[in-house]
Amino acid sequence: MAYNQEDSKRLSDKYKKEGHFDKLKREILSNPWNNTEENSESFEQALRKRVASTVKEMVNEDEELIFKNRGLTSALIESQLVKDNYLKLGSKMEGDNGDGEKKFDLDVYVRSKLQDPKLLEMIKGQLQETLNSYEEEANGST
Amino acid sequence: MSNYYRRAHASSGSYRQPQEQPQYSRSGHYQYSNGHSHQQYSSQYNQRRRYNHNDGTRRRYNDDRPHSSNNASTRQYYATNNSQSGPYVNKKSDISSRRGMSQSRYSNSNVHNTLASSSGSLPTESALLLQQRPPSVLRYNTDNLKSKFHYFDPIKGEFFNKDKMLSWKATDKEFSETGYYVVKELQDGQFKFKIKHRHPEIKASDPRNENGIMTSGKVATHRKCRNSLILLPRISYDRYSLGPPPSCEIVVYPAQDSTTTNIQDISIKNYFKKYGEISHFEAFNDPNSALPLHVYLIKYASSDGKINDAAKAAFSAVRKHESSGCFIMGFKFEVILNKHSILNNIISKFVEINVKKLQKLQENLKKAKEKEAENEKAKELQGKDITLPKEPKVDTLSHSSGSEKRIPYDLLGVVNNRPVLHVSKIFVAKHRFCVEDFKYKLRGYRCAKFIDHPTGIYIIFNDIAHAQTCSNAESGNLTIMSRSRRIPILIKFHLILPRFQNRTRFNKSSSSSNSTNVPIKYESKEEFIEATAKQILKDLEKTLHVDIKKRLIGPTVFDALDHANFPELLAKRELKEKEKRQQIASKIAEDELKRKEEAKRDFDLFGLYGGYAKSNKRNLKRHNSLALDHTSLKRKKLSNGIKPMAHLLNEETDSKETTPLNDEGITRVSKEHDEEDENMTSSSSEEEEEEAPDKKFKSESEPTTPESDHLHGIKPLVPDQNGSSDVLDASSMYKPTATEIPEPVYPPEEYDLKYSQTLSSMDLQNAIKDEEDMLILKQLLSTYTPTVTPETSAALEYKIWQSRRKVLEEEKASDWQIELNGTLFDSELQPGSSFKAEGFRKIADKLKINYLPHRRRVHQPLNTVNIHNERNEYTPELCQREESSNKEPSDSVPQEVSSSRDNRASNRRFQQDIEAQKAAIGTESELLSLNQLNKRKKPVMFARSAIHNWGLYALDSIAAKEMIIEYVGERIRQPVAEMREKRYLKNGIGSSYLFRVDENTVIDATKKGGIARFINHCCDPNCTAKIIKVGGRRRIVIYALRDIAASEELTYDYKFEREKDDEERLPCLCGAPNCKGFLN
Repeated sequence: MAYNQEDSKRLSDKYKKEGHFDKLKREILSNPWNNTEENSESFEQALRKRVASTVKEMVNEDEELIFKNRGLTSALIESQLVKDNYLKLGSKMEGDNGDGEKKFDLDVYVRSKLQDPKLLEMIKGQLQETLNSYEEEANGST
Repeated sequence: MSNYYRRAHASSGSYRQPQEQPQYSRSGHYQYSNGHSHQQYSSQYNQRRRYNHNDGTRRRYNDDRPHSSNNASTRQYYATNNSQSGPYVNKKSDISSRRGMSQSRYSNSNVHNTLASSSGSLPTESALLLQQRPPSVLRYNTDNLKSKFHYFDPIKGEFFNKDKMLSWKATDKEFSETGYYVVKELQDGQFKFKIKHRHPEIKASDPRNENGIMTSGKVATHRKCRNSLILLPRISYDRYSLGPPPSCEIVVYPAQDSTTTNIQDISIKNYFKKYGEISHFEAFNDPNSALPLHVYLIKYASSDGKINDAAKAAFSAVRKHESSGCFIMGFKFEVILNKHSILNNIISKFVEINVKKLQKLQENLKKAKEKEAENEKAKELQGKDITLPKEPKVDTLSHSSGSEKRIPYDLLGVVNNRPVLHVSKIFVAKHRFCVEDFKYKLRGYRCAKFIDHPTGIYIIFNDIAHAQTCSNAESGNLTIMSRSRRIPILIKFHLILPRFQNRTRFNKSSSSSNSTNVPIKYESKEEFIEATAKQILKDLEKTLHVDIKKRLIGPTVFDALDHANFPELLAKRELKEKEKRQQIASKIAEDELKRKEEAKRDFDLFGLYGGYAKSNKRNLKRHNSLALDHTSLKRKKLSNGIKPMAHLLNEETDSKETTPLNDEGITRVSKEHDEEDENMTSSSSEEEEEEAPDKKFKSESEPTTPESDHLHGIKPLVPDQNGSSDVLDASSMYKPTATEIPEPVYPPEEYDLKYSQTLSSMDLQNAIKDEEDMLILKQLLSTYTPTVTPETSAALEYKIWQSRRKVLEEEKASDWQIELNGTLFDSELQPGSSFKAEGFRKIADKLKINYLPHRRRVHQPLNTVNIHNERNEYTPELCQREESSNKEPSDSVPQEVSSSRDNRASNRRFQQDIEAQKAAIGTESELLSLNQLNKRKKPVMFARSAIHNWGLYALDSIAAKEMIIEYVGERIRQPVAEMREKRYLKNGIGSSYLFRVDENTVIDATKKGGIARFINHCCDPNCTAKIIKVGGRRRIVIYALRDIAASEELTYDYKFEREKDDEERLPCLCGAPNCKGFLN
């Protein structure tokens, strides 16, 4: 049986609908962000912390920021943080707490997570299951 | 049986006599022969035959009847006789032999004779019978008659004088034996009849042969040879016609199967409209494709009474196009009468044609697709790469056809490297094709765009495959009807393929869709799942980043910016603000000191006594014009640069801003001074001078924030206690006054006057005017220890600010309301809840003054009239005018009257002039007949009225007894007026503009009429309507009753008849002091 692109699209939709996709996403976000340390916090927490500290730093530089329109300011800051593959988040801030060696490379982390061969295998397995059940269903109905 | 006889008698009555003679009568002859045979063989025949024979005999008796004189009685007799004679005759035939019988065959008389002779031998019954029958006698057997040459003896059956008769041939030899004939012959130029001898021995010959006209058996003729039947002349159909009505429908259908026509139905209809009125027009569509067949059914209608019209129209339409067809917009149509099932046949014929066409087309398409599929297969076999097969083909094609054709530069952007089919401009122009033709023809293909370009028509496709399919199937196959030559033309497309593999960014989306459109096929399940998984990973990455941005970073940044996260920064800021406030306070204090010093210098003793009268006056004035004053006072206080503390708290300003504000405040004060001066028109200049310093002092005190609510009525106590402690130290304000009753230093505020009203925080703030007030307040509040938490303090500030704003806004609104309507907005009009929830309710007319400007000041003229050249404000001018007119009416009125009199006189002269000219011309001209009344019309104008809807206003002042305007309208009779009134009421035209002139005439200005109809009724009118005769006609003219000022509303008494029914009565809204309350 040959498959074409439409089938693949249908299959991926099916896969997403079964909730595997969201589960994967959540997993990646909640994984401990630094495997080397034992009691390291999850990626999500680390990211939040990082962002909070960056913002604080920016406010310290220009204190008028907090007295301006909050929504507008936060949007502007957000766009700055996201710019150039999270360059601003990645750049360390020794001035604050000195642990500059702990480089926060969000992009690298996400990529490494995604390129994990284990992940690919897992997805494949799940897809296989989905496909089987789907085909069974189709056979049953015909 | 008797029946039979009777009938025989009746029918054969006239032949009776001839029947006597067998040689004349067939029946007789028959009988004779029959009888004869019987006579010969009677013995051999059986009984029945004899009966038959006897029947015959009896019949003969019958035949004798006419000889009896009484027909009716004879019949009777025969009837009875027959019943008896049957058996009798039978017997007789048995007994008597054939002798008598045979005799009877020969003659009647003989029978009689024999019967008579044998009567003795016969039984008595028969004798009786014969006796009863009279013998036949020749009645006219006289000599006189016998001598007549042609006397005929009926008994003998021959002419009596037969022997004397001679043949003419024998006696007269002078005549030809063969006879003669008459011929018409031409003799001496005249036709004459001639008798000629007949020659029976000569054979007749065809006279045509003699003249040589007939040659070889065929007639040579000059008449046209007819190969079809000649139609009878059309017999017109009328109401006396029998048979089915002639067809009045025609069918129009295309002569050739040219489906390309884009003729609109309406043009066909219009074309055939010229033959007669069309009652039905129907265009038929192909039931399969719903496309027009261009077959039309047109039915003509006949106008009433002329039932032949329709058939005639249809006939003439068909007749006209019978021979040469009809051309409509360049296409040939056939026209025939719709008879029987012609229409259905035609439609089915065209539908069949279309079906065949479609089949052909589908086959072509199929072939093209198959071909392509084969090509693809071949390519696929060659190379394994999935994306590859398309490209080589594209290249070869582009080299073959696309090399010489290029997309024009200006189209590059639009085409955007997509495949294009091109038809050259020369070709298109020659046949006058348009883009729509192609659009229609290629509607089955997925064309992206059709472009009409100076170089030709370009058809853009999004996909190469589509373009190729289309080109293969249609190029050289597609036909479009040429507009110039009216024949289908084959069309060839040139396929121009994209040159570059990458498209520009304009078409990113379509290019991506293009790439995905190349069907990727996965051979194995693993490959398929692998690819899907990769796709999912890609999706995952995308969503992850979106999530990080939107869900994580965004909210975190927002939270991080919270004030609470930066306490130290907040503290810093608060400090700064405190400093600022202190600066301001100190500055104010400095200013204050300066002013006090100045005041001390200005102090004078004599001011003590003047103060009493002054202040009294001022108070009085305050009471009078409270509305004006209290607002200005407040504004002053606010703008003096001394702001309430609450406001300062809310303001996040720096020191820069405060100074300019102060300056501004000062200038504003001076401005307000001017305004106030204007407002207080009645006050003298002296007072103003005195007041100026007062105001300054008022602002000297330091403003403070109020901390609690119950401060009321303290202030009046203050001045006396403190006032005279140190005369020199105290400012002029606190100086003692020589009055009987102690007077407060500050004028009473609004809340002092209205004790019932609740105090707003603003009032409270304003109440504290100097340090002394503040001291008292502090004393009062010393017992009260406020329990202030940080949360409540923040809320308090806000509450104060809110209530303050509310008060200010309300004040502003009421100011505007007063300015606009002269009164305050009535509380009754303010909605308790929402207006919608309240539903409909009636608002009293009194309350309407609150929001309808034309309602206010009911009895004063109002400035709803807008005269564009009058720039000045209306009110003061009017007041002056009114004053002047009131003061010197005796002056102005005669003057006006005289002028108007002059005017009228000159008008009359003008009129006479025109009359004279009319007489000179001699003819009655409409141009010259002018409305005399119009000349004397006063300038008036209609506008919204305080009385009712619209009113008429004087633009200029009008003197009493002057004519103002004529009431113009349609002149109708009384019954018409009644009818119209009902109709107007029915149509919802509530206002009545009917004006009765006399018993029979009413003037109706409802639909057509002058503006005089807008004049309202008033019980105290300033005008009156008079009926005057102009040129023999009664007309209504409005005259001024009294002097009328400019812009005053004109009114007159409608003088309606009193209505007895209370429900019918119309309320009067004039508002005059002597108003009767009702119009009727």
